[in-house]
Amino acid sequence: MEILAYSEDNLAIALSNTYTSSSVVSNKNHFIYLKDYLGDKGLKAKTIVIENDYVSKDFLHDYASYYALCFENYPKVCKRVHFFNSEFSEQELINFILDIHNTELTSDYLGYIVVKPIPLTIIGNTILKTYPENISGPYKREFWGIRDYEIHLYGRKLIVKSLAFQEQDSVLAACATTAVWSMLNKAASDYRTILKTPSEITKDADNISHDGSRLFPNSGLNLLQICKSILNSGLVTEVKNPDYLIEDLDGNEELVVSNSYLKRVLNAYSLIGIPVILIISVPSGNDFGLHAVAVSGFKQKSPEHIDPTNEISWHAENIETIYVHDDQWGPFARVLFKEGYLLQTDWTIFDKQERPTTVVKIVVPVYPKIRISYEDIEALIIPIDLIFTLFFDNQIKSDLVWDVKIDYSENFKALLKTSSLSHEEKLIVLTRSLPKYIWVASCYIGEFKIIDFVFDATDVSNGMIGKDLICYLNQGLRIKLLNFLKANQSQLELAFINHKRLDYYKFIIDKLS
Amino acid sequence: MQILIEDAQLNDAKLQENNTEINKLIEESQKRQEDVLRLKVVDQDSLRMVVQL
Repeated sequence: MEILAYSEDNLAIALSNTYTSSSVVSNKNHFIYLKDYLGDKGLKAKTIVIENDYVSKDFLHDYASYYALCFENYPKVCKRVHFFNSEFSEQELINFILDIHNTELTSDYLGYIVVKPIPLTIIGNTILKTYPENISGPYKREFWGIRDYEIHLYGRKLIVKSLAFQEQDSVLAACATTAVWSMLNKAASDYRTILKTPSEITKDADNISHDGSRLFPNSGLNLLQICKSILNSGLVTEVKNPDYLIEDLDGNEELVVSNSYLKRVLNAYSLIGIPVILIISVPSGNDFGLHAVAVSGFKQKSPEHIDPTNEISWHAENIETIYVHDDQWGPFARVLFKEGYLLQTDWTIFDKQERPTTVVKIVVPVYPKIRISYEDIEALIIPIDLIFTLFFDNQIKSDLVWDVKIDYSENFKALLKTSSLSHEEKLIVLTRSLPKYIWVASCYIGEFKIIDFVFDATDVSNGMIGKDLICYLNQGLRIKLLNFLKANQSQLELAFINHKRLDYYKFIIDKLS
Repeated sequence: MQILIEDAQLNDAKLQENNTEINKLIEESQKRQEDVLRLKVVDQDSLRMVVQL
């Protein structure tokens, strides 16, 4: 056991090993990121505790798969570096370890970084606290892709809400493998999903590398291999296509994911709590390269006033920043939205020309029972928004804003209990049988929710997936809306594409009646 | 909570038939639905894109 006061120099020393000196550590992207994240602008670490001879399950598997067979005598044990946001002496730490009633350091604990005993790619399993969720102003951080980790430090149990991070070792795992590994760390809190080590994830992806060469050392995974490795852990994937056509400097056309679509997808799947994997194009040398990161949270504003427009407004547009596990920088790395389809990542900030980052694909891991995707629901909301827009006809104070999310029906029912509905209305919905996973499309005018549409997320997309409609409008407005819908059925049902036309228009009328 | 503007006049009567503006909005709505559903269809070539940084 060793205690150091937190400083950038001591951080570099703590993260070094026999093969990687502190001066080499100080030049790594991870160090540049972590000194800010742990420093005064971030978690405000004050003390470092180094635990030697730490057995890391993830490294042990990697060791058995590769490093044990090297001629070089790599150690199989790591060191674990703990961080606290208070200053204390060795004796105070000993008192904390020995006295179970001493809880002084419990709330000061910030998490740990495992340092692997191999050259250069030293950052192993890392569990660090997130930025605080509550911040001043209208924004709130929501880390939906995190979970509780029980950490045992010399016999004392400490709890940290986080998502595990590690650096790719470029031998057993490339960036895609580590993004999948971080995602599985959260998804595996559900008993049907298996948490695997990086080497197991890479083996799950295929027998050989994408270019026909040996699987290890691994030179990256293709999109199909990423999906296959996720499938072999008990989840299925929804791959989202880019929606925004751009032209590069040479006049070549290319499709990328627009920021608006990215925000809508992340918002839509956030309540399920499984980190979403983004395939991003980042500046690398003179060109761009593809990279994978796992999104675990975002900073978003509450619903607020927007002037009425004929365009659909989405609550997801209030997302300002997303937080990603980028295995080449660190955990909870900020990604800022710029114009249209441009993103600012650490890749952009530290690029000499500050070339932007773009998203080229979104891989959403979901539980197999979820069969209806976000796009199926958005396609139903588009005509409903038009019908409501024609009904309200600029007579509303703020625009109609839609918030579309997949959720567990039990969470939806729990939230409904706190709504403004009468006891009788609540009881009707609460006692109704619903599937485990539901899509909920909520429509707001300003901060006031006017309607919830509930769709079955486990059905087939060509079926009638509308399950419920909860109207928060007063009786007078509700009757006016119903009369408007009935009076204009023949004209407005054409707003839905062919096969959905009759079912959904009738569904709205029936549920409002 | 007040969601309507002051002196709001909500009309629940039949809209004008063959109103070109409404017809245009309906056509746009249908096109947007088709565009959104197309985002689910992944092209085969992109499945081979290698993520290797």
